[in-house]
Amino acid sequence: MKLVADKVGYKYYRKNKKVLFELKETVLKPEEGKLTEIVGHSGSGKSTLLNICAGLLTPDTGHLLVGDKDLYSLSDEERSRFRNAHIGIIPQGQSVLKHLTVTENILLPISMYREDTPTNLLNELIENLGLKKLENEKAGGLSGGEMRRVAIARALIGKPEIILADEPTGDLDADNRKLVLTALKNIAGEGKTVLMVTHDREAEEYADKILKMDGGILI
Amino acid sequence: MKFSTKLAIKNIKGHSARSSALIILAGLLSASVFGGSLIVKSLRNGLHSYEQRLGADIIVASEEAIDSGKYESILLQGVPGYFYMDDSVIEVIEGIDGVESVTPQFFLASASSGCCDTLVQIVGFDPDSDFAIRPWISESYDGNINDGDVIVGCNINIPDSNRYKFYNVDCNVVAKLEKTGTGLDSAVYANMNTIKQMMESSSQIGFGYFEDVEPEHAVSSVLVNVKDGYSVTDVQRNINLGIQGVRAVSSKDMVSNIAGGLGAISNIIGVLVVIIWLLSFTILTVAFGMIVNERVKELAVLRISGASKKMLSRILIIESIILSLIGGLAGNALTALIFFPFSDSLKLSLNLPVLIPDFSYVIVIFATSILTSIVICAITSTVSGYRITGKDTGLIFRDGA
Repeated sequence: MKLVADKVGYKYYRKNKKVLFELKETVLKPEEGKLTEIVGHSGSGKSTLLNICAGLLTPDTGHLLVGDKDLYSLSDEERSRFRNAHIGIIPQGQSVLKHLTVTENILLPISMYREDTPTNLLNELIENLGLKKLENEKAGGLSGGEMRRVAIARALIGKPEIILADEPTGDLDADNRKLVLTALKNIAGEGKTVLMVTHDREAEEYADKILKMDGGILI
Repeated sequence: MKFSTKLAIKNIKGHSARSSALIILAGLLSASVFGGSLIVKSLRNGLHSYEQRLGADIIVASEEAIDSGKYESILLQGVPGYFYMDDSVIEVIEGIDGVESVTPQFFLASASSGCCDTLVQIVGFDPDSDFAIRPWISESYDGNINDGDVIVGCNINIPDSNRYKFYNVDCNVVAKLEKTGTGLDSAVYANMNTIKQMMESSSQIGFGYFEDVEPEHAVSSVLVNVKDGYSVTDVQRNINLGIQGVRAVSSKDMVSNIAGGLGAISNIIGVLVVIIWLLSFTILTVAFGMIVNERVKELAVLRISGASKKMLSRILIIESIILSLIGGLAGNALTALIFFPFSDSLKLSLNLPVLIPDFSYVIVIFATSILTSIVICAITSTVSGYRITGKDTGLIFRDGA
């Protein structure tokens, strides 16, 4: 499924209404079957662009086209369902519901709108991401790396065509970093569109295409 | 079960400390409405019942009985007591202009010694002239009250033998009266002959109740009805001016004294309930606000997984409904457990008649108070939730709430 950010722009304002940061009108067309990486310093606008691509931040200008849909012309209900069906998101930091088990966390997107549990895929993800021993544990007791792997499994359980990952290797040790990046590379290999933003230089060797962001401009 | 409900239940179970705090707040809110309404309604019912039970326009008793509050204590609290005046007052009262009918009453306190089975207030009345007690008794018993028969108030247990002994006079219990919420619930009623028998017997066994008056000429009070067209106040004044040593009080004054007390208590309860409400509302708004802030990341995770703003609001509202329902049920149940067994203590401490409303009314205020608590919680959680759901999730990840 094609993802096209067409001249999307966004401004953050200070309390005194002056512009704090501006993502300049940006065009982004990550390719299907490729792992596209956006690198840049903190505050360069990477996460803002990723959030726009995820349908989570309404741009001030431009359009976000996913397949044949202009995502921001949809209602919140339609956009949420669309996101649930087609976009898998791995956010920054710890993003688990700590009072739910690992399995319940992974199945969140499925439980929202679907009746049937994809047992085979669930077991496969749990196995491949090294979560087998933890599947019935409460997520609150996991390490940072384990939580990140749960977030990856959750992003993939609905078989989305587009995967968006925001600093997926942040705070991870070398083993976990390798495991996560390999997983993302493999997902792209399955023909999915994978977009990752990071300032982790080691991640570059896994990318098929690297874009640089600086001061709100995609170079 | 839908996802929103399932997740709401898991959220509640998963955050037991937070949930418990909210349950307590919701319970307090509901219990204050339920308890406040129950007390006020019981007091109003009690006053109404008291008004009905007085059954006369004017009550005449000795000055000492009225001024010391003994008469009121018997009527309101059922504190056993006695006071007497000479029955010659009956004839004098009958002769006062505007008096339509009079009937005497006789109060005798049973003793705690072996001659009496139980310590109660015994009220004697004259079935031939009575217009106050008979109409009430007829609600429970329509037979004759013969010599040796007694009718008991609802707070008095009837023994298996169906008999009670007062001053060695063996009495047959013929009926039990409906609850009035007044001290009369703890009294025993008999005709004048039975009372006279008890009086004689009490004198014989050494009780000195009749030091200032001949037992055969003693009465405790005289109830007076005024003819149509005459002013109760005028007749009352004429009795007070015409007969030495007695005090005539109009029923209206007796009731209005109590109504004044009831009004003051109702106002205090009303103010307390409003304060509790405002406090609970404020605390709930702050609490839900803090909780939602604490849960920003959690709600954002749901958003990225595909939850719409409507779904997030639904989860928050379901949580608040479940918590307030549990809190309301627990708070009201606790209030009921405290109120019903101790309503008599309330009567004693407030010195006001207390008559618990009927079951259907209790159910209505039970349900209404819980519903109110649910609505308040749902509103406060919706307002707090809107601060999150009204914002782009991208900004939540960037800024927090």
